[in-house]
Amino acid sequence: MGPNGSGKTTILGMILGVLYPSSGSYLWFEGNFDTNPNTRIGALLETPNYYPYLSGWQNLKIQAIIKGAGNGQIENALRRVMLWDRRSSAFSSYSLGMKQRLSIAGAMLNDPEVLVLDEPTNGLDPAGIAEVRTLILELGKEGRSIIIASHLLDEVEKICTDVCIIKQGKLLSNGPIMAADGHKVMALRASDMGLLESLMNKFPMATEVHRVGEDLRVTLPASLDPALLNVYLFDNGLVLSMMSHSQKSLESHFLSLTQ
Amino acid sequence: MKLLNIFHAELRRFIPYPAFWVMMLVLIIITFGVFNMGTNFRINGIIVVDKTFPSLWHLGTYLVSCISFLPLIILINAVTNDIQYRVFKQNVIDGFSRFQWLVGKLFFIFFLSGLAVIIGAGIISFTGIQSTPWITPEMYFEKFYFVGLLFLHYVGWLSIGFLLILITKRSMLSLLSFFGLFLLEKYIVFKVEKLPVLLPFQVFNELVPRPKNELLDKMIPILPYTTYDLILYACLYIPACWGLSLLFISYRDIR
Repeated sequence: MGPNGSGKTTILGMILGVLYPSSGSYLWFEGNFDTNPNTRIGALLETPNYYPYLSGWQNLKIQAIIKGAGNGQIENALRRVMLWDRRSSAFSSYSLGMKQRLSIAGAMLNDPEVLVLDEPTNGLDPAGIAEVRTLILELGKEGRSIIIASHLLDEVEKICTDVCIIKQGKLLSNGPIMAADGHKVMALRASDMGLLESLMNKFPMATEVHRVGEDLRVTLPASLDPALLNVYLFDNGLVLSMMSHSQKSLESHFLSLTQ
Repeated sequence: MKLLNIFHAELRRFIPYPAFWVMMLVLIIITFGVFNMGTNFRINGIIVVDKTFPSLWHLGTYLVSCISFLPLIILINAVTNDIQYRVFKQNVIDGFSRFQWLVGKLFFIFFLSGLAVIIGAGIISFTGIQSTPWITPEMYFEKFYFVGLLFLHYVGWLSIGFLLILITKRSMLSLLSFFGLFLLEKYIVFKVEKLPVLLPFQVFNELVPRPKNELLDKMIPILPYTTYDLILYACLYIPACWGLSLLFISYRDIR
């Protein structure tokens, strides 16, 4: 994740072998491969790259030959992205969402161990975004590693388990999504907000406590079990009326690092 | 990756491409038109365009070589499609090496040259059989080697064209730079009296030289090189073009 121009696509381009790094190195599959490792990776970089005059099927066929996948896999991939009925239509006649889905189908050929998706919901309408998001989550559940580049905080929060934040090609932070800096933000509410604030200021693991609207936002270690916090407050005579992960945690962290 | 897979992927690009077949049809029509502009053209009663075998192989392949720009346009169209639609980039992402992509294009150039030669040879045969009063297999095949030279001519032209496409990345720009280089070479040959080496276009054009003609030979003399010299030069220039192409794409980012 990173702001526009931070180098997300450039990094993906380098690890996929289309751009040459000026320095640094990377290693796929711990170096255990006999053929080009890219055949074990499914990738969508920037825009869908297909011949406009060929049909969806014909375009995927070329990809399948390169990746060593059979016709059955093309059919499975097209069915999975719901383009089987439009397989004979020219790529140029597809909507943007369909083009994006065809790219994902192409990336899925040969059952890759890793998927690399650059801005997979770019230019899609809300329904298209939801479709692609569901598809990515399903693919992730099958045990694949999925690397996504995005500047959309909402998308990253909903899809990813881990996040790296970069700016101008430099890694600023990395870690689990709810603890990009090793912390998470909880939003708390109680009938006595004064007592709640006072107790949280005394709570040894709370690094930041401040009021935001009706909530008290508390920054805590990512590993902290929320049940422990609840027990601590209850033992001190306070019953919480609301406790949740703050949806703003990633955003605030992202903005603090990149602005 | 198996070589056959590279060829298979390449075939899948242009076999379903309608513009490829339209251009091939145009090639057939123009080649046929060139051969039927006049039958046994005469000046003062002397036949200057002899459309009978065996000499027709020389004249025919020479005429066909004069329209080499048509296969060149087909090549430019096909390769710039790969670059313009970023299919080359996607191919590398999917597992092709740059070298394998290049091998695919070399196959395409051989295929295209072969197809153009077959069309030309077919029309020459058709014209020759119609124009020759009686024909024997010896007469038919006596100068058939010109067909092989025509193939080498095409491969040479298209190899230069391919290198220029990689450098310019734009169809019109590559076509203009091709003809710009062609004219520049003509100018150099015209200006410098004794060049130490034959230049690429000179070699590929002279592979199928203009048939002997008293009138024209007085104005533009034919180069005093043997066919073997020219084949040797061609066999140096063609790999040089491909080596430069490989060098060019190996060290350049694909965007």
